[in-house]
Amino acid sequence: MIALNHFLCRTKTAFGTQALTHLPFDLSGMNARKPFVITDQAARDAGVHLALARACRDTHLALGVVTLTEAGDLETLYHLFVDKGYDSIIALGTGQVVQTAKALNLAVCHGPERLRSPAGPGQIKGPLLPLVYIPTHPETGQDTAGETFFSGHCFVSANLMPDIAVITADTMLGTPRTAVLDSGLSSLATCCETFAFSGNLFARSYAHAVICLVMDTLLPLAQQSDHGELLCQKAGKLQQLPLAKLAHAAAVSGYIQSNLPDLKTRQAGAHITAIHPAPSAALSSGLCMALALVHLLENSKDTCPWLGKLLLPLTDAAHYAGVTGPEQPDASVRVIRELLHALSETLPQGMPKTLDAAGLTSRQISEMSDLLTYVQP
Amino acid sequence: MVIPDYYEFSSRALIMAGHDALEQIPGLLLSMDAQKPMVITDQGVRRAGLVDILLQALDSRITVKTIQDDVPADSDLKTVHTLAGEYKKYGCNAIIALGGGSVMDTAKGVNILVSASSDNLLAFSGANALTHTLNPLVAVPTTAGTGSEVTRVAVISDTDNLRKLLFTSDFLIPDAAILDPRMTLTLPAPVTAATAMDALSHAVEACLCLGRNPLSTAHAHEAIALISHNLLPVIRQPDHKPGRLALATGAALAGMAFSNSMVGMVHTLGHAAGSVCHAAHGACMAVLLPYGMVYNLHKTQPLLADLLLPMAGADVYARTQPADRAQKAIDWVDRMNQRLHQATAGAHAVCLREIKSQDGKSRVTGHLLPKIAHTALGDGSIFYNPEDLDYDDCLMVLEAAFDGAPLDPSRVKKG
Repeated sequence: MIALNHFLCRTKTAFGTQALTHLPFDLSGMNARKPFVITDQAARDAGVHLALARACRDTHLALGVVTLTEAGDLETLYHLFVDKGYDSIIALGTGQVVQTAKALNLAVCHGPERLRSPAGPGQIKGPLLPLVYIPTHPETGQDTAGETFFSGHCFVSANLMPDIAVITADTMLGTPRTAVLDSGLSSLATCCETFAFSGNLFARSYAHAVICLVMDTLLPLAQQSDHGELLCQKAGKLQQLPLAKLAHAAAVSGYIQSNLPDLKTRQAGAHITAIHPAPSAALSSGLCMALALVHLLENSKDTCPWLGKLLLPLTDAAHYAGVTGPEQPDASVRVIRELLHALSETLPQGMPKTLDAAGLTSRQISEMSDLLTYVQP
Repeated sequence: MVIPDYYEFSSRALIMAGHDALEQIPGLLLSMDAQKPMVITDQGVRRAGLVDILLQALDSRITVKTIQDDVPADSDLKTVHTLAGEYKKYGCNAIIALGGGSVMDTAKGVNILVSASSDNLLAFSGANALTHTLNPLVAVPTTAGTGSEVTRVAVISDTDNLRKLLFTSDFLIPDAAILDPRMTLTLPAPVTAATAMDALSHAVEACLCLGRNPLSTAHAHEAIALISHNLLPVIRQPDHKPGRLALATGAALAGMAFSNSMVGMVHTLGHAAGSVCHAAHGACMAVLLPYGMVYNLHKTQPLLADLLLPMAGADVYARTQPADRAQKAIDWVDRMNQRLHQATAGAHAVCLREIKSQDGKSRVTGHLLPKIAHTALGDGSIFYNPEDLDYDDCLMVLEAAFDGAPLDPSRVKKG
């Protein structure tokens, strides 16, 4: 155990079929009566906002719903929010919807001028208004992390984490297979690195749960998903629950990212995406992270404290205990490689399973060796 | 992985765990604009010198306005009201709770009153009666057991009306939990044993009971591994700082787990025994834990079997036939109690009749068992137990646990 471990997760996770119906009760517990719902066109077209409205019918809540494309820029949202006296924010969607909701929260509580310059940890003091996050797709953990990007600036604060993440099959929209893979592999890489290298037992406990969720869900979901699935329609019945589980994994991986901002796989993913000549859609950030993870684990077998134990969440107790201690590190890496291979089979064009196959030159790989090797502190 | 149809998981305390974690408190209080804390503790903690260690860790930026060390063993309404008055009198703007479960619960009660500017704690009892953030509260546990430093619950006695008031709200979760091994180094072996078994019971019930979910189970398994691997070494070498930190971390993880999954019959019966006989909570948990596991065995066999891995390690797990793993996990807890009994020269009780008061008298007597069973039926945790329990079931388990006799499987209902 290292000298000092910190862990903070401000977000309550509510998962399952009744999660939306519990929301009015939770909002009431935060003294929120007039939530401002921000959503996007896809969620609106699929009628997801109606499920939220139904859950809030006959309660004390007075919802206002805006769709990002019609509401325009943040200034418009800000004036709407202040003029109409809203007291809380519900981000119904992912990505830009959530980043906008976080920025709006900052603007309302600290003044719009707060958004003109970036803010690092500790610079945003005081609580923000209640923020509820209801994803419509599995994403990559950014939505629940304590940070937001707005107008080229980054704002970091644990207070930016949502108060509640409501994750339910009812709000899941159809998600293309590539997006499913991006989310699942991003969560897997974040949490495998956390579990294998971090001495932070609180982060490792969350990571354990995420790895189990991804290993249960990702491959079957990738096999079922349609490559060209429409984003503006509700997910098919069979996909809804696995998508929600993957969104759950992504949300929790965001909690971990907030606490362990220096994860090598995330940095490597961003680096590879930046230097790679192919369009980012062809080589998602999640896939880059997973490929970096394999390198990282392979390069660090002798220094990685818990690589052998990683086999436990990657498989199950019986499998883990059946492999002898010295063989467990190799077995852990093998399970991840096999998963990548099986996922590749689900794509008509396949996908690269190593950084070399992804088109990175030996020089590019060696230049990022510090991101692909763990050095024991 | 089986996921329930619906579940929630929330653990909002900032956790700082480490060998010099206390030294983080000044920066933490400053970040919350809370430079004028009140310290709430008890006389035992003060006599052990822990208040002095805390004060040395605070620097000149922090002004401790008052130190209140009159918290009784069972947190009560009068103490809460008195301390709330002191908080206002000294112009405090934060609380540092330094102690075990009673100190934590008292501090949570005081924080309700001073944050709401109220003098009626009863108005906030029950579930989710709080609707606003409370003043800053930093929890520094001096035992590794209750997990109260990370939970959303406070239990405060209303001694005038002979009842215990339950308060539950996410706002009751302390802003920060500081886990520093210096705070538990002087704990006597029997207290170390009983509080660690309390934490173990939180973790085991979090895995078995009806509110379990993937996040609570992951936290509970990590807690079980930490407690299992470190408890006996710490009993043998009390000043082993890494072991102490591991136990404190295990207790916090177990607290995060059970706070989100709830607990079952081990706590149902333990709460009742504590209420009727004033028996130490940790001692009751240690004795009752294997009985709860046996009682629920037929409904939780695969879950119990999974516990053998964090308890006994991969080698034992692999060597044990799958069908025998659940029973082996129960045997492991039994054996842990026996080894703690030996390591503490008999001070760690292995049956209810062995739980003693400080003057050496038995706390739990045979004629009180029916009253304990009756009281247990009113405990909320009974609803989360995998198997149903009625009065006769409670009495049957208590009678067996009283003498340390095995539970007769043929008398356990198989609902």
